[in-house]
Amino acid sequence: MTEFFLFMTGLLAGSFGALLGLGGGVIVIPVLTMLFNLPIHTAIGVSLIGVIATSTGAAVVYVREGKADIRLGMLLELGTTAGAILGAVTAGMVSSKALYLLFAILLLYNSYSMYRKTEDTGAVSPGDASRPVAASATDNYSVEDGYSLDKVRNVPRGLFFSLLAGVMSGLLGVGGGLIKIPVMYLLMGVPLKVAAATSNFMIGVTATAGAVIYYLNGDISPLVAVPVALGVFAGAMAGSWANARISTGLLKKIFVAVFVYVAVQMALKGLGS
Amino acid sequence: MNRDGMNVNRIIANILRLGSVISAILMLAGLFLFLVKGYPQQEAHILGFPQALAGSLALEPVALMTLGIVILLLTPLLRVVGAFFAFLLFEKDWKYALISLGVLLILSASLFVPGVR
Repeated sequence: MTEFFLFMTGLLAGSFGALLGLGGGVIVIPVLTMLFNLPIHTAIGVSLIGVIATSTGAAVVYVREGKADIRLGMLLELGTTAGAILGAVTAGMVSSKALYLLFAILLLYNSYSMYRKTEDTGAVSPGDASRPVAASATDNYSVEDGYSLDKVRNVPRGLFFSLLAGVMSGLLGVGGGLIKIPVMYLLMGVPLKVAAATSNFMIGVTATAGAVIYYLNGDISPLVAVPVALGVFAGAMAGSWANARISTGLLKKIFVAVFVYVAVQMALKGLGS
Repeated sequence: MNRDGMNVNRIIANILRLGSVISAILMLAGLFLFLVKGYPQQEAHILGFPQALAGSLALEPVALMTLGIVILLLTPLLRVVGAFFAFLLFEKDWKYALISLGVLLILSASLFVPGVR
């Protein structure tokens, strides 16, 4: 029975993740810790497995259609993988309470970024990137006209922020698109669609660098991770299908409220109430 | 860029697809056997890779699930290996072959980070 609910958690995370352009981590981790009462280290390890499942499935599409810039992704992965190892090792040394607090901050920032998107609908903002890309997964689009890797600016700073995105991924079990997409788009001058697809393409390798450490530390229980990962696989497919067909404005507003509520709950847990 | 990227793109897309399909099949089979056999909960401990491999041949549910996870973890690693050879052999792009090798080395380093707990 537990397996069924874990599968549903993955399904929820995968489908809403694809629908709203979120990594599944912000859904998986609160559900596993707050509803299943699992240790947050386990939840993070399991979430990383779910994140790899999402990214691997989505990356097939983006890579085949030439949306992701593989060279740019590979270059920035030098930063994200090193960061993910740092983050995962750090997570092993800090207390659960600290992780709850950090995750609460991440959730608040995530809802702020989603809120801003729902406010200026129509205008293209960096955070809005994942949805248009997922929605256009079916149209025939290759790497944007006029864009080439030679025109990418600020590579050293981009690498530095990739390192930070990697730390966030390894420490908190999320994909890190929240940092990478704006950095590529605003700092490096990469078109939004290319930035979002490349970010998604990078997530699998980044999360693997972190997940290996959680696995070796014994934080990835197969009985938890497998139902969640299978749910995520199925959910991500359903979510990207539905993404192109329904309007997500109201859904986003609801999730902003839910995330704020969950952030407060996790912060309280972090403060030791 | 897109045209000369075709080889790398196709190789990487195939690795990712194959990896996720094999991993999903193993996880699904393991979970199915687990539910059918009513495997005792306390035996569902976390396995190392050699145990997972040996157990999978004996159709142990938990071993199959673990192997599925390990293959999911290996898939991104393999796609970096694939990119390295594609850059090196097909595209003769030494710079990005070297960058892929760098990513591969960092990834491998994660295997040798001493267990923290």
